[in-house]
Amino acid sequence: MSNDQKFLDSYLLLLKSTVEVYVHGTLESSNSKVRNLLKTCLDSTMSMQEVTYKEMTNLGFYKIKNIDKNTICQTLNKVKEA
Amino acid sequence: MTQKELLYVEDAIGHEKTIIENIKDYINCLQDENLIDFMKKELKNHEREQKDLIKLLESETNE
Repeated sequence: MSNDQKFLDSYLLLLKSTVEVYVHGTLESSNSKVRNLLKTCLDSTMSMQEVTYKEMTNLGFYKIKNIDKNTICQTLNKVKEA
Repeated sequence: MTQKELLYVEDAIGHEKTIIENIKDYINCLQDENLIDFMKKELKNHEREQKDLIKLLESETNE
């Protein structure tokens, strides 16, 4: 793992923990000014998380492995039967 | 603003401060020029958020 990747990993973790603060703050605030600002910051931070993750996948730091359709079908059948 | 809301805003400002400090460190250590530019943009976003949160507290003291 390169140093650049370590820095981006670290940044991504910071963003994720900050998202949690904004999620809980938004949910728990009734004051509209507070709620609106925390929600704006939440949206902005989630957007930054997405952009950072995409940057990392573009650089090959993350490998995305999609599952096959059969696996999805099995789950679909299971939830339909329940 | 309730005590709980104040705590959330204070917590958020603390998180933004930590991110800003870390990004400044990253910028000094990253090797990829594109990533340095990327981080500089991110830094501006977080500085803006921190400023907005502080402004919110200031507006509450002025009312």
